[in-house]
Amino acid sequence: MTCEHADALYRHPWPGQTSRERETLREHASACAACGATVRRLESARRLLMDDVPLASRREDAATWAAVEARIEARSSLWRWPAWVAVPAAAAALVAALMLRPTAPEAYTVTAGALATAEATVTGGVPSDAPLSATVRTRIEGEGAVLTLEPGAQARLRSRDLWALEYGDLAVEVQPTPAAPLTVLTEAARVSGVGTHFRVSVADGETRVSVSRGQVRVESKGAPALTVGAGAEWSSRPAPPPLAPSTEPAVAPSQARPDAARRAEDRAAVDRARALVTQDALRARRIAGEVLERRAAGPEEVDALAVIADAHRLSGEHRAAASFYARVAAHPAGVAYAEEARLRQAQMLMALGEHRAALDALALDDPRLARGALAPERAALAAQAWLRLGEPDRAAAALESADPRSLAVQDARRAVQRALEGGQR
Amino acid sequence: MMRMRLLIPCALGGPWLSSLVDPGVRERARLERTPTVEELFRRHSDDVRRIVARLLGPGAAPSDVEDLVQQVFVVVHGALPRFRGDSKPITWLYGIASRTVLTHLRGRRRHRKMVASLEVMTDLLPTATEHPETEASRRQALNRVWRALMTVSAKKRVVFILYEVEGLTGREIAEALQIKEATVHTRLYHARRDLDAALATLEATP
Repeated sequence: MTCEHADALYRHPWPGQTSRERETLREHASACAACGATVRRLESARRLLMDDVPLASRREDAATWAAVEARIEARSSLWRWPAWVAVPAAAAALVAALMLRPTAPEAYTVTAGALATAEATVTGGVPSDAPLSATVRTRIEGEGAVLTLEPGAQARLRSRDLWALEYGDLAVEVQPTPAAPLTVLTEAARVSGVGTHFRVSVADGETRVSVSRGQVRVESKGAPALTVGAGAEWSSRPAPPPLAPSTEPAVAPSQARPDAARRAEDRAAVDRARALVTQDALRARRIAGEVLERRAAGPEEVDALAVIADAHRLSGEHRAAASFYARVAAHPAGVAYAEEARLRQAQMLMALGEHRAALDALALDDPRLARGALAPERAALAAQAWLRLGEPDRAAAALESADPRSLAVQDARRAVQRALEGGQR
Repeated sequence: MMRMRLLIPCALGGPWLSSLVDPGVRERARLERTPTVEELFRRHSDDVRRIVARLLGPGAAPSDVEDLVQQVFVVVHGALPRFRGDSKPITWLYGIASRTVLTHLRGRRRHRKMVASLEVMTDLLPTATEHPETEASRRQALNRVWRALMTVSAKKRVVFILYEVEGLTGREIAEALQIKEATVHTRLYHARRDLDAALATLEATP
C-alpha cells in the first residue's frame, strides 16, 4: 500500500520547506496508514542506527598509529624524489633489473634426471632465464609445484611463478596452497592454475593443454580467456582436436569455448537476474535458469547458479538453496565464491535442522578458506551447530581461534556461555 | 612598503587587497593553523573509526575497519598540504573517510560477503521471543535495518548515514563528498525510498 504523498515524505525536510508544508505533511502522516508506516519505519531505523555506536577501542590507538606511520613512510620513500627524477629512475631500475637478473631463484631445484643448460652447473637452484634443455625426463621441484620436463623439451624460468616453454612437453603439478597461480607461457598461450595437474606441449607452432586434475585458465591472442577443466584439452590451432570426455560436468569440454557474444549476452542476463533477485525471486530464477540452459560456462555459470541459490533462499526453499550453494562452492570457476557459498549452504542446512551436514559444509578444515573474510562467521555458525547438537564444549572449541572482534563471534560466545552455565545448573 | 602591506587586514577588503599581502606570510600563517597528521589522529581517530565502521556496517570484518582507518590517515598525510582550512578538520576527515569507504565498497564480492555476514549474525542472535531482553530484540531490529540498508546502493547509503545518523547538513556532505548539494538531496531521497521499500519487504517476510 502506498500513498501519493510518500514522495514528499522521502524528501522531507527539503531545502526551503516552509513550516506550513511541514505541518501539512505531519498531519497527513498521522492520518494516512501507509505514510504513517513509512514514518515509523524510517524513524525507527534512524534511532536504531544512531544508538548503535561502533566501538572505538582506545587500546588499539598506539598500534594503529604505528601502522599508519609505517604506511606513510613506505609511501614517502617512493615519492621522496621529484617526479621528473623518480619516474625515469624507476623505469631505468626496472629495465636494469629485467636485464641483469643473473641469480637463480632458490624456489626451484633439480632433483632427478639431467639438464643440458647454458650454464652446466645446475646442481641446486635453477638459473633464471637460461634455457633448460632436458636430455632425459627431468623433475624440477619448487615451493608448491613440481614440474617435469620431458626429454627434448626446453623451458626457461622467467620469474618465481612464470615458466616459458619453448618446445616439447612440460607436465605441471601445482598444490592448492600457493598464493599466486603458476603460469606457463608459450608463443600461443598463457596457461595458469592453482591446485591442478596439467600438461603443456609445444610443437610446430601449436600449443596444446590437457588437464588431468582441477582446472586451468587459458589466455590466447584474439580469444576470450577460458577455463579448461579436468579431462578436457585445448589447442591453439583454429580447428582443435575433439575434446576428451570430462569428469567434471561443470566445465564440460563442449562448454570450454563459449564465443564472446554469447558470453556477453549471458553476463547481461545474469546481471539482470542479480538486480532482480531481492524484488522478484521467481523472475530472477527464471532468467538465471535460461542462462544455464544455454550451457553457459565459467564465471557466468557460477553467477547464474548463485542467483538461483539466492532466489531459493529468499523464497524460503532451504533444500533447493543448499543444493545450489553446494554447486557454486564446488564449481571450478567458483573459487572466489566458495567461502560464501559454503557459509550459505550451512545456513540452509541449519534451517532444515541438519546440523551435522551444516558442520561438514562449513569446511572449517579447508586450508584454502582458513583465513577467508568470513572465517569468523563460519566459526560462529559452527558453534551454533554444535550448540544445537547439545555439545557446548565443542562449540567453545570451534570459537577458540576465531577473531574476537567479530560481532558474530561475540554473539556466539555469549550463546555458548549461556549454554555452559545452563549445563552447570 | 612590505611592512605596510602586512598591516592591511584581508577581511576588510576584497580579493584585490588580500593579494597585496605577501603570499609567503599567508602560507606561513596557514601552515601554523594546519594540524599535523599525528595531531589529527590523536584528536579524531575515534571519530574516523566510528564513521568508517558506520559506513561499512556490522557485516564488515574488523580487520577491514582497521585497515581503512589506517588508509584514511595515509590519505590525510598526502592531502594535508592541500587542506586550506576552509572547512572544519572533522568535516574534511569525514570526506576522506567516506570516499575511502566508497572505493572499498566497489567490489560486488565484498558487498555479498558483508550481506552474508549480516545474515549469519541475524541467525545467531537469540530471537526476541526466546530472550525478551531489550538488548536481544534491539540487536535483531538493528540487523534487520542493516540488511535493508545493504540493498541501498553504497553512494546513497553513505549520504543517508552522514545525514541521518552523523547529523551532517546537506552542505557539509556536499563539501565532504565533493558533490553538488542538489545531488546530496537526490541521493538522500532515493536512499530513504529504497530503505523504506526494503524494510517493508523484510517486515512482510516471516
